[in-house]
Amino acid sequence: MTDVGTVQVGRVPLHWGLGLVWNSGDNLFDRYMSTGDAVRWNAKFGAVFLHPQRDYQFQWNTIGGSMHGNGWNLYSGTRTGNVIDYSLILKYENPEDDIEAGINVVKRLGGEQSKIQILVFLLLRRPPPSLARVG
Amino acid sequence: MNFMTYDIYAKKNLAEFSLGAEVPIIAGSMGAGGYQTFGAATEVDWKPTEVWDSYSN
Repeated sequence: MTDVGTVQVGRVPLHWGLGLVWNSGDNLFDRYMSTGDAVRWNAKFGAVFLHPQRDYQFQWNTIGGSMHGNGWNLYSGTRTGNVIDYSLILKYENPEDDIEAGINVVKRLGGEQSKIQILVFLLLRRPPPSLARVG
Repeated sequence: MNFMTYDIYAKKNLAEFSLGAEVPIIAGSMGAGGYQTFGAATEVDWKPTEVWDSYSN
């Protein structure tokens, strides 16, 4: 808990809007639910809510089978079913007019992509001579 | 897998009715190829009476 919001850490349900992309599965006939191991900041500035979040959806730890497949790449023998989401929710809520609206921007990295991102970052910091000559 | 999702959502309550809409737009790459798609959903709820809750202690 901070002066500017609440920090949540742990396995949390993910939900946004009507539930097309993220659905926490709270309703009676919901079959699947979105869960993730997240670090999330819940802040409110007037009528505007701000929720930056990073969550890790581990293949075998999602509840209800919302992540399909077995998580193993048969060719390389590595785990590829896990994904990392970086998301930013911006929501406007006005109880007087009974209206709410917003946008959830999610960058999803999955499988080997997340490792490649880290590798590219490290290479860009100090490119080796062989890469510097390319192009 | 590397893609961005822009999930736009709005909801408005009008008396007994509730109107909602959501439009997710996705762009990026999936495997070796590009991946672009979008969806759209609307929802109308009608709540003619207050919900009855029952509690037992």
